[in-house]
Amino acid sequence: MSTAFFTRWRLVCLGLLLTLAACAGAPAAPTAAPAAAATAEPQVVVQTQVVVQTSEPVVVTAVPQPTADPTDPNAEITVWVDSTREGAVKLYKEKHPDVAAKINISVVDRGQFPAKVLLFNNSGGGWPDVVFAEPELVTQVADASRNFPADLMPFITTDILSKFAPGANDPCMFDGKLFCMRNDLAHNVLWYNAPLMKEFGYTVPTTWEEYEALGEAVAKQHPGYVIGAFGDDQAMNVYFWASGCPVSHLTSATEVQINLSDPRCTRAAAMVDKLIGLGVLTKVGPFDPAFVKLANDNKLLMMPAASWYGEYVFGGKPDSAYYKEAKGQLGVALPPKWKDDPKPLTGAQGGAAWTMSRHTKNPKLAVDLIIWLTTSNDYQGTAPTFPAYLPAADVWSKTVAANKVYAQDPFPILKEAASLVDGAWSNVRYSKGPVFNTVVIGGLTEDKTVASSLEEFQKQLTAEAEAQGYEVVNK
Amino acid sequence: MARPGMFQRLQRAARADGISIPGMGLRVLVLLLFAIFFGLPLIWIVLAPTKTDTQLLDWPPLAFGSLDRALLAWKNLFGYGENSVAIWSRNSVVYTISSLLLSIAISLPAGYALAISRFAGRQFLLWATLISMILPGSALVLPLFLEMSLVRLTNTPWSVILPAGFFPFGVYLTYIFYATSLPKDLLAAARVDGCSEFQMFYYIGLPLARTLFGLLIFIAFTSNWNNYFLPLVMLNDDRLYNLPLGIQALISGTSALRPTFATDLPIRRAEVALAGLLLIVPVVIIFLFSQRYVVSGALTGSTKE
Amino acid sequence: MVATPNTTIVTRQPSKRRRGLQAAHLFVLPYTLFLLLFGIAPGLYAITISFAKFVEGRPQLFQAGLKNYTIAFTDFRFLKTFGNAFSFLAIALPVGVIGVVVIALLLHARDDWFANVMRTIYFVPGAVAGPTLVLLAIFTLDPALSPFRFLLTAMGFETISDVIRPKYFPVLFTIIGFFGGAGGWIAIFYGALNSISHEVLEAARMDGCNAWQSAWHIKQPLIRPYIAYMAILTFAGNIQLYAEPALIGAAGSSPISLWSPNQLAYEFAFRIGNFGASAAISLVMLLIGLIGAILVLTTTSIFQSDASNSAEG
Repeated sequence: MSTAFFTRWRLVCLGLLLTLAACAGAPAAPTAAPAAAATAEPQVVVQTQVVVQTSEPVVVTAVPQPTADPTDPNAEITVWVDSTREGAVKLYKEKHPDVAAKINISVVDRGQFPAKVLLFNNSGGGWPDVVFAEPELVTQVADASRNFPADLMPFITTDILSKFAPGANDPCMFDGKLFCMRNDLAHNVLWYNAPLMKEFGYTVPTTWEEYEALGEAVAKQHPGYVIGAFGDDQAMNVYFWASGCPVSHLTSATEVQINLSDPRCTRAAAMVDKLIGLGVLTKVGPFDPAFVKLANDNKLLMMPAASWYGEYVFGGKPDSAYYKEAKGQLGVALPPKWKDDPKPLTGAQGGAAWTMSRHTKNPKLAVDLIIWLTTSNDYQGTAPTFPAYLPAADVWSKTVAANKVYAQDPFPILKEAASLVDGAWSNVRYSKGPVFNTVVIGGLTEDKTVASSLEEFQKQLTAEAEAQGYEVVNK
Repeated sequence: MARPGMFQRLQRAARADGISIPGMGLRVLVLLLFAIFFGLPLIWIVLAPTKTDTQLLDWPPLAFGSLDRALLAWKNLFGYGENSVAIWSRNSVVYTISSLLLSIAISLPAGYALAISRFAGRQFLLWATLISMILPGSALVLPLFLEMSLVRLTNTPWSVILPAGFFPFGVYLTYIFYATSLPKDLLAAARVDGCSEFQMFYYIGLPLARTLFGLLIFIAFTSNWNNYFLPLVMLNDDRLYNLPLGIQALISGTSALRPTFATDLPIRRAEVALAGLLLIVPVVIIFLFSQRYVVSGALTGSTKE
Repeated sequence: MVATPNTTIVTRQPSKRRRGLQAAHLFVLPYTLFLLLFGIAPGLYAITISFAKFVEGRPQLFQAGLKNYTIAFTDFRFLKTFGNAFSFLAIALPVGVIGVVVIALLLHARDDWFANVMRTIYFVPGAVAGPTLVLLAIFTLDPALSPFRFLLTAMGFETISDVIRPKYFPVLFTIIGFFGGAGGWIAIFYGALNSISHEVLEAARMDGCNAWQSAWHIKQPLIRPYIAYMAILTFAGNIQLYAEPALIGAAGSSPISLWSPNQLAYEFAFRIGNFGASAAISLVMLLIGLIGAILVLTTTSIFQSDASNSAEG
């Protein structure tokens, strides 16, 4: 029914959300929701917390303030967050009551962030000052038509930067400029069901070749059990990113390498085709009800997946998706590597960041906030996901260790795996996930193999990249 | 009630309406089938807040969960933020009622005049109205935003209420209604008696439009109540959001629909379904209220003055 | 409402007509203002910026010539998306219009509480929106979870990926669109049917028309202007399909690439930052919608059949 305006465009947001990114901020709106004790607010679940080292990392702002814009240390800033991160900014306001009144929080659907920035560019004002967004979104708003982020390099000491997990901030670097700081990491690791592995007498694979062999064994000896999912674009990150396949390898700011006939792609495709054929890799995604049922029925032997799956998907709590009880059944191992590769590589699934607008009138406050959010133990120590800042991660590990679902303390593995994310797989302005779903996953439902879909995948990816203004090499 | 009596009554009713008894049965059957098509998903939504995520996956789709879960869903929704959901609901009511009053007040006289008189610019208005309904909304986002920011109204309730006052669908509907159901001789008679145009509108046009009025109310209400995109473009401050925008912002930051975002907020599928009910129930109420007008507005005997 | 001025009776024809015309202009004045502000001005602006170059998202007027049009029309998704839209239109338009008319006529055949209840049930789905609609789609389309699972499994579907396949999209979107949109139109048509003078219907009954004949020969022609209205809007709306492909992307395993022209228009506007190319695509959609409108209007000539014929003095 096309009655008033925009009735049909209700789902703009969802579509954009699931592909991309964030929303931009608000001008002088008389919000200032005071950080009074928000009684009814469901806060982050704080498990038994060991007393933390009290001193926060001292922020030593770099010497020169390279701002061309006039800055006003009393200006208000607007922070755009999602509903989960709202508590974090409120916590900052609690801890810093002298600046609390200058911080306005707005909960947004960050899928709309790039669109809103365009609108603000047109009206000449209204940009938010600090935004919580994935590096993919930051990539989008860093393009020529939006030109949103400010370079944080001048404000951050090398001391702080060095304490992030190696490579964590690489997705935030654009031509030497630091356009965001990582909030958390979502690197892929190898989860497995420890009791089942022990019962079946299998050893945890350290290479993909071993993983494939394990799949063959499982198919023969224990049909019905699965070792992974291949039903949505997470599979692309798990299997192709970890193989170093050039899906979006930026060679310069405007040039990208897309070459799906590269052996690094075909070897992954061959492996997954084999395993899908054997039935140990499902054709449904990890959040499909059918897959969740497999996990509930304890048929999930193993699964390469993101680090946050441990707490939030396997869980071990009554309302968790996969494991409803914490019985020490969840083991974790380093992601497998290809035998002939010099070092293991892994992909990631998510992990967000904080970015600052270059139009902000109060960069000092904005930067202070960003640094606190990414490095403080108060927030990151109890954050939902693996902090990108390693000292905070050490504190975070205590909350994780308290969860009885793990077979052993997962933190050492998670920490080591954090530095294995393949930085060559870059954030780009064209959407890889939707094309992968349409071509590769769609091909699977038509009973095509993954390998046979690679050519079409390459063709469409190239077209999308060129439409976004990239020059594609190694076509 | 002896069976023959009921059957006779049925026969009598059938004859009065010109429909045979098997015909009545066919009508009921077809309409019931459609009711299942439209209604089964609705029943699912109503029952969903009573079930946990696991129950939603494991139990039969139309099973009833527990009242406790539904009450918890309510608590989780309204407990989020600082009364955020309550504020969004209030905003929705304010924006919708304002837009509804504004748009009907503007559209009703316009459609009436278009239908009953030839005046300079009439064809232009009719075509412009039609074209503006066909023009894709995506093209209007930027210009509307610029207009509102020019007068510094972005991020205020007016930026949502004013554009919604433009109700071309209502104008055209009014035009068609009056064009088809206003008896021509009635107006001629009134003019001969010396009525002014305003008097004619007030004493003849309005009373005869009970049905139209009913239609305009529920159409304007529904489209404004569910308006997501206009507030998205215009509003930045989450205290100003209406319910659709706020719910989207809330849920997109949680793992309710797809567990791809790790969160500790207690928003799950039950809460999403309950939020949907929050949006649906007022629409149903207004629809039922407006149907009284629609049903009672039949044009009878108006030419016999 | 409007304060009625104390008019004096004038016997001369021309001034009476002039007064009538002025009154009419006052009636339409507020609407005309809004039409200009929120309909015409934005529309003209959209046309204007289709010729603009964009720097940092801001238009540099008339500096792109026809380049935006070239970019839009030669985009590798342009023809594909319009093809998709037409394949959807071919199914959805007849199903929608015929379905709504048939249901409305069936409802109106007897004036009973049953019709009122049914009409309400048909209308409610139009109010389901946003994340709830996504949730509903996720469950209703899954053969393992849906209330309609017996139907789905009988058709051979086992998982949700069996259902959500690009070749089924036209049918799927028709069903979803009908689910959400039919109820509103049904209610409108019912209102229109209710405005038909009882005397006409009585007379027909007297003449021996049964309910079916009355529906086909009397009622349907009398509500033809409404049917035409629905046809015009549905035609244009179908070409501008956006919500349903976006919904499927959210409800299926994961997002899919662009399917409809309107999605492409949004992509150009909000991802690539080229509002001009987006406007170009919007104008194409507008043009197609206009052609549909003109076709419908010329075949039903509803602009002529109105009370304005008798309004001349």
